[in-house]
Amino acid sequence: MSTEAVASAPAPTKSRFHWEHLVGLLGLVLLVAGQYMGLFVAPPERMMGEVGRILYTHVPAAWLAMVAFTVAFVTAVAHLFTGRRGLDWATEAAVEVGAMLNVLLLIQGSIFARPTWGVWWTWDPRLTASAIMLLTFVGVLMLRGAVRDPDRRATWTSVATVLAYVNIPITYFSVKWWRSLHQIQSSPETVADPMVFVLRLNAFAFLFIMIWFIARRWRLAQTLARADEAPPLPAQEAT
Amino acid sequence: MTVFATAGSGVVSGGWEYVYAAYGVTWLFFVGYTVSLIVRQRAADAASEDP
Repeated sequence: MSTEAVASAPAPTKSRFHWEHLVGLLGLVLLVAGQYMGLFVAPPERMMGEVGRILYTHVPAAWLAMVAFTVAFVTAVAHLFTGRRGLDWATEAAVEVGAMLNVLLLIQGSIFARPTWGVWWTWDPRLTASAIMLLTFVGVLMLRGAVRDPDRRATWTSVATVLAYVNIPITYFSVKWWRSLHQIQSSPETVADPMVFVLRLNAFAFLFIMIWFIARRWRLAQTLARADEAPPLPAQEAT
Repeated sequence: MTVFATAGSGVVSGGWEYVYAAYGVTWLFFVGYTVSLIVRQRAADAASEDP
């Protein structure tokens, strides 16, 4: 990390209002509308009946977990090239938010699996890859927590994030590459219009909320870093 | 001959408790993570202002 890079990081502001609050508010409004429509407006799925409504909250969680990890991958690579401290904070923020969404999608998936597959969990390729995805990114956060030096911590976090990201395409394509209980990816051509609209509504809600989460987590990382870099107090002279 | 008479229709019936659980856990996670961000930010602000 160069001195210029640290100096180029913006100073934390005490302002109560930030741009991300508008995005978060939009996400909240869309989430209320999307979840209501998913529960009470969208038609039951042909084979899964009412249980199919879980799709509208499970699929966006899966999509956005992968999007968050992709943001982490991009900022990690950019940090390795530029050394900018702000990119390291963004990586930390995106990995944490992605891990949170990963846990959520696994719990939702387990709830979904019980009435449709008859089990809470099975070592299906998609489920196993999703669990590995969570473990690898939790590993990134644990590694980050174990390193004290900020420059080394940033570099190691970036490298570990890039390595962990290898599993993302494996997770995404696992339903095509191996025989899986989990259905393959749907497209607007294979899903009825009323279901597509509700799914998109929830996906955009999750997207805006994810942006709010990452932005707030970035500001937290910024504040913590500034506190760490604060100059030591002058030593008191013995009288 | 109705060989598959006991096989059922193949359509999942009921299951609203699973639907509510999945939606409930979504809100629980979002609210919980929001609270954790606010609490941690306040603690960090206090630590950075502490002389």
